[in-house]
Formats: sequence, C-alpha cells, structure tokens
Amino acid sequence: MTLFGHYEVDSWLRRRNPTAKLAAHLVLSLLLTAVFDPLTPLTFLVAALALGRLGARIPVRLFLTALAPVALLGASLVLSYALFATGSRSAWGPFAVTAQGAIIGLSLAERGVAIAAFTLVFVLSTDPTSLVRSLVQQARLPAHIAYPALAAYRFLPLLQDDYETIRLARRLRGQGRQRGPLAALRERVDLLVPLLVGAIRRAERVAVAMDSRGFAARRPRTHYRLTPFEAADAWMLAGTVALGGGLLALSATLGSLRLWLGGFPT
Amino acid sequence: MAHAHPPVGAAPRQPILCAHDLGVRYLTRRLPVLRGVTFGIEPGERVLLAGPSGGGKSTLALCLTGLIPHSIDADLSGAVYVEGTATASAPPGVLAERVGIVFQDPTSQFTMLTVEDEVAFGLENLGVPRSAMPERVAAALRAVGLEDRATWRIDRLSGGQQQRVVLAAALAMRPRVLVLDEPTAQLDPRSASEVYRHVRMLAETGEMTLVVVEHDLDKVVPGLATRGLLLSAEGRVVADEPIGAMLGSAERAERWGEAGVALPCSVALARALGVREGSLPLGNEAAGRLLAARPDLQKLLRAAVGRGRARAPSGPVVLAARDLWQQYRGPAGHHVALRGVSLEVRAGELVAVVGANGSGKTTLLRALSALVRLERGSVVVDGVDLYRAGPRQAARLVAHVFQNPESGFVANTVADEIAYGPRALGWRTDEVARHVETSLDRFGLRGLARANPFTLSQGQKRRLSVAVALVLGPRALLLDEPTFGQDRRSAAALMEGIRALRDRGLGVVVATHDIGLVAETADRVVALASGTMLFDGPPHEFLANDGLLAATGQERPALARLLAAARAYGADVPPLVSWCDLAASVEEGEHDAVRALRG
Repeated sequence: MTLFGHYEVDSWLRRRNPTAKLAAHLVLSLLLTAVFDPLTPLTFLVAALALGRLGARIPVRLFLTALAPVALLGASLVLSYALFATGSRSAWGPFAVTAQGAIIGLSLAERGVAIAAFTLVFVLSTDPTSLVRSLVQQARLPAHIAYPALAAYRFLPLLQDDYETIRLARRLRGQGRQRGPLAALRERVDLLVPLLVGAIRRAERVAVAMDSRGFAARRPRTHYRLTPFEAADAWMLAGTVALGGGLLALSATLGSLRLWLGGFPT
Repeated sequence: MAHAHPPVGAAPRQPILCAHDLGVRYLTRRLPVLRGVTFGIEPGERVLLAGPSGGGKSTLALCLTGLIPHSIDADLSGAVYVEGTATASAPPGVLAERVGIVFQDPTSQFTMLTVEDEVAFGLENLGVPRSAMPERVAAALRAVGLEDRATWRIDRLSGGQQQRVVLAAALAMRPRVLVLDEPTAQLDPRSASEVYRHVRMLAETGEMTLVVVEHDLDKVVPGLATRGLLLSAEGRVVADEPIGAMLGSAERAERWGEAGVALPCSVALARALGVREGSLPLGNEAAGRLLAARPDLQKLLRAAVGRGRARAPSGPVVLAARDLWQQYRGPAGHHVALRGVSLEVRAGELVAVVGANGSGKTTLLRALSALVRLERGSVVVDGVDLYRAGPRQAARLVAHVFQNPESGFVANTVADEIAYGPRALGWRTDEVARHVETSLDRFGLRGLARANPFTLSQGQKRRLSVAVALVLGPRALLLDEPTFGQDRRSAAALMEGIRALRDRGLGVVVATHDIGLVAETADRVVALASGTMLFDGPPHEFLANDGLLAATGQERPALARLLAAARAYGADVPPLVSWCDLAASVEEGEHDAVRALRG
C-alpha cells in the first residue's frame, strides 16, 4: 500500500467518480475472466497500458515495476502448463513440453497481468478519501463501515514500522539464531502476538478519538465534499462497455476468441 | 440516575462541568482507578489536572467527555454532568459538540488523510450543512496557525503540527470545554512549546473552559491554568485549589511535589535557595523580580556555576562508532538517516543524544547495537567489531532498551524473561538462577517474578527491560527515551539507577527529548539534525548555544529561561546553572540558606 500511497497526479481518470471507476474496472475484469485464448487478453493488456498512460498519466516505468512480479508469476504459469498439462508433446532441450499447455498457460498469465494492470490504473488514479466518500454517497456503503476502513488504511505504514521494531527488539534478545524452517516459522508466529496487541490498542485509541468527534452520533451525516456522478462518468462507463465489446469483437473477427462457457477447454 | 440539575452549592454561575461522587473501575482490573471524585468547573475556568502515573488522570479526562461510559467499557458510579446533562444518559454525539479532547499520541487520532478532511470530519458527523463547513474549517486552522497546510497529507506533517491538527479538529466543533490529555508528551521541546503557544492564545480569549492533564507545570504555569486539581495514586482528589494558593506556599507546594508532580521551576528554585518567608514566586517574571531584589541570592547562583559539572570521564573507550552512514530505501526514493556520524563512549560516561523528532536518534542507537544495515562505517565495542561479530556477540556486549519496553518481551514470566538471554547462551542452571535473583532485587522486581511481563505497570516494564538488557554483563547500555511517559518521580528514580550503572563503569548512551535530563545527568551531548551530527561536547556548551538548540528542536532548560528573565530585570546571575550545580554547592557548605535545601 505504501508503494502507491503517494502517487497523486491530476488526470482525466483521477477526476472521474471513484465508484464509477470501480464499476468499470469490475466490468473489464469480469469480461477477462471469461476469455480463454492468448490474443484477447493481450489486447486488453494493451488497452490497460494505453488507458493508464493517456487517461491516468501513469509513468511507463512505474507500470512496469509494479507489474513485474505478476508477470514473473505468469511466466512460471506458462512454464508449468507447458511441462505438466495434457496434450501432444515435443522435445524442448531435455524437456518434453506441450504447445497446447503452453498456450493455455499463456492466456491465463496474460489474463492475470491484464487484470492487474486495470487494478493498477484504478488504484493509481483514485484518491482513497474520494473512494470512501463516493462509496458512501453513490454506493450507499454505511459510514460506520467506510470511515473506520479509511482509518485502518492510515495504519498500514505504522504497522510496518511496529513490525520492524518488534523484529529488531527480538533479534536483540537472541531470536533469529535458531536454524531450520520450523524455528523460523515459530518466530514469525510469535512476532504476531505483540504486533496484534499493539495494533488492537492503537485501533481502540482511534475508535475513541473518532467517537470524540461525534462519529458515534449516527445522525444523518453531511459531506464536506461531494463526489458527483457526472456526464463524463456515464460516458466513461459506456466507453468501458464499448471497449470491452469492441476488443472481443476484434478478437472474434481475427478468429482467435475463445470464451469459457463452463467446462475446461482442452 | 440522571438528575436534571447537578448537585452543587452556591456557585456564582452554574458549573459547566461537574463530577459528583465519581468512581470508575475498568472491567479488567480489580481496584477502581477513581474514587469519590467530586468537583464543579465554572465556564472560563482553566483547570490543571495532575497526579502520579496511573492515578486516573486520563480516566477522568475520558469521563468528562462522556467517552466513559459510552465508548469505553467501565463501571461508572456517581455521575458527571456537562452543562447539567448527565453524561451517562446523554445521547452519544451530543457531548462531542460540547466537550472536545486532544489525546497524547499523534499517530492514533486521525481518521482522514488530509488536514482539511480531518478537521471537517467532526462537522460531517454532526450534520453541519456543507455550505457552513469551509468557513469553520478555515477558522479552526487559523486558530492553530495551520491555514497554509489545509490540503496537506497529515502524515507529512511533524508531530507538533499533527497535534495542532487534532486541536483544530476539536475547535471546529465549537466546544464549550476543551480537554487536553498530555498533548505534548510525545513531542520534542520546541514542537511542544508551539502547541502550548496556541493553547495559550485560545485561553486568552477567556471563553474556553480548559482542563489540562500535564506532568510539567512549567508548561501551564503561569498564565494558563488558574486552578489545580491533584489526584492521588488511589484516584482520589487530594487537593483542589487556585494555582496561586497551591504553589504559593511552601507546605502546599510540598504536597504537589510528593505526588510526583514537577513543581514550576520558579517555585523549585525559590525553595532550593532557601526562600521561606512570604509566598513563593510563580513564573519566571516573579522569580526574576525576586532575584533582582536579592543580591545574596545572585551571589549564591554565581558561586554555584559549574560546581556539579561532571568530571571528564577518563575511563577507556568502550564503544567507538566511526563514520556511520545509513539509509532507508523506499519506492518514494531513499531517505538518508545517518550521514557520517562518529562517536566514542568511555566507561563511566553518560552521553545524551538529542535532536528533533525524525532526526535519526533512534537509528543511531540501532546502528550502535548492530541492528540496522549500514552503508558504511563500523562499531567497535571492547575491541570487537559488532558488524563482523554477529548478533549473538553484539547482544552480549551492548544492551539496548527500546522506547516501548514491551516489544522485546518473549517470555511468560518476569523470571523467565530475565533468564532468557543467559539460557540461550548456555549458562549453567545455577548461574542463571543466581543472576535472576540478583536482578530481581536490583531492579525492584522481587515479588513479581511469576507475573506476566505484559501485565506490569509502565515503570515496572521499563525496569524489567533494563534488567533484561544488563543480565549478560554488557560494556555499554543504550536507552531510547527512557523517561518517556513517566511522571517526574519515577523518571527521576530510573535516572538515579542509570547514573549508578554509569558510575560502576558502564558506557551509557541515552536518546532523549528531556532537556532537563540532558542538563542534569549527561556528561556529554551529541546533537543530531537530519542525520548529521551538529555537536559533540559538554552539556553546558550545548545548552548555551541558542542556534544549536533551535536547529535540533530543543529549548533552553526551564532554569536557564528563568535566569534569562532575571537578567532582564537587572539581576547579576549567570545564564546557566543546573540543579546539580546548586546541590553540589550545598554539599560544600557554602551557604546556610542553601544547606537548608538538604534538610
């Protein structure tokens, strides 16, 4: 979370209604989950990159750094499908690989990367506060759920600091010397206890502080800022549907499109 | 249970806040924290709430805001009334509009991410129309001097600015009463004064009723608090009187001192100088006038200068750090925490590390015990390079006590906690037992051997963490903010223990915001700003350099500020004298009046 915590560049997408953006993101991701060929998710991925660059002004470098781990995971997926999936095999060095398997792996991997890319565009173009305000105003999320969630989001970097401090304090006591995966695992679990004790105490303090500002009143709340749903947001949603449909149609025209309609494709 | 009117006597005005036979017991504790507390506060009064640690000050603050019993589970007997409404029966939220509160910890009081959103949060909760909000937010931010920070992210502000945001958030709701619960306990001295400067400006309007919980009376006297309410360790009100009366006479001041409250510097000095007749001066101006009129006292102060100054420690160097560079890498770029810091600590020497919040004090201490990765540099203790020797050796040679003692606890009982290190090193069972016994006695933990470390009081936890750190017989002891969150008396007792360890030949390094500790205890001061060492030398040189103090987030000690006021009145007094100087001067029997200090 701290990775993206400070990316605040004004852009067309940043000015869109967060709930509308979330809906658009869901539409594209759902479409992607139904696709089962290597070309279609690739077109979605290209669209996500273009959207990120042009719509949200995300630097290409940031995009690549953030997607690299997902891509790596995808590469391993391609490899394992090539090696272990059923299908006719051919020799590739000392290994017997299946091209069919590799293609399935590739489409799965591309799908994952494409969804991650859309998520990235959403996260980097959305201010957390606006998202919470919009979820309360447009999606009717109850305030007593939304605002504590925002307070908890503020905690993440603090928790990271706490974890580091406890880890160091324990290393000082001689922990971290035992060898073996079991001892290491036990130490991690032991670390969680003081971390949780600290986190709970802090959460209690924040809850009390929120109540001291009248959060417990549960009166009809007003809003310091509105997150209006504007014409541009409607256009964005329409554009999203058109984009998704268009890409599927393009892929179908090229004869590549395969949709998952229940059952496992072979 | 709720009466329509509070039971009060013939007060000239109706009390705005009123406690009637108030008792509070937390569900997890056997004994109540407050018992039979009764008082009334009139509009515009400014009340100091003082008492020893664990004496129920914060609990009382929570009761006054109605957060007990509405948000925190506790058994409440008696009643608290806010403008005649019993808090227990008031609908939640109604009280938030009347009583605002600022807590101690800046990191756990915010809901929102930016300054203006946070200040507006309370207004949103109250259902204030949107059109009215911008003006109220702006006015609240102006009152705390943060109008140019409205759109900033809160986590990019300093701790002092964050506390001012909390203050603004409370003010925006236009409360009739403001409760401040040690609002500056976690701040460096300069940020602390800045917060109190704004509180004083608020008090000057005369409209706000204030209740301030504070250990350090110099922050609230004179000019802020008009009345003092003293709680005992058992949670009873033992004194409730106008500030002038309570501190103006020697016997009464005694009672506050005994409760672990640090008396205002002016009162303490007058008592130390043997001023017995008349009332004691309250505040630097009064003390300045008194000194200007008394050449005998001026002479005494001049004679005391440097008397208690630490002898230059001549022991061998036990810890030598050379050219330490450390940086944190993050996606948002990297942050250099230490820039070429070098430092030597001798056996029997106490070095204080000072600097503003975020200046690198904690990182320096961690580097000295080989806990962080260095870009460059070395730490040698007793001839062993810690970064080459590995964590086991490092832990044996250097004891390190973290700011939060709990973070290092690994065992289920106090005895096991002390035995943990020796056992891990494979000491013989009888030897471990012997060391545990010695430690229990030395650190006043006898009787708690079987208690769970997490259930101890803050002071006990701190003593246990020092005991744990010392059991392996290290050459150097590092302490991060050891007096943090403790009242004067427990802090003084702890520092007494640390001085004793130093005198037995340990090299001690203390990172601290406590400028009094620096002035009274340190043999040397190391001052950091943004990871660079700006000063390494004797405390009296550091404390006399205003530029250096400002650059490192420090302020002159209270006594130096008082002497400056006296000089402004024409008194011929030195710019800097420490309490140690005065005490040492007494020891040498220089002056009858000063000798009285001892007796």
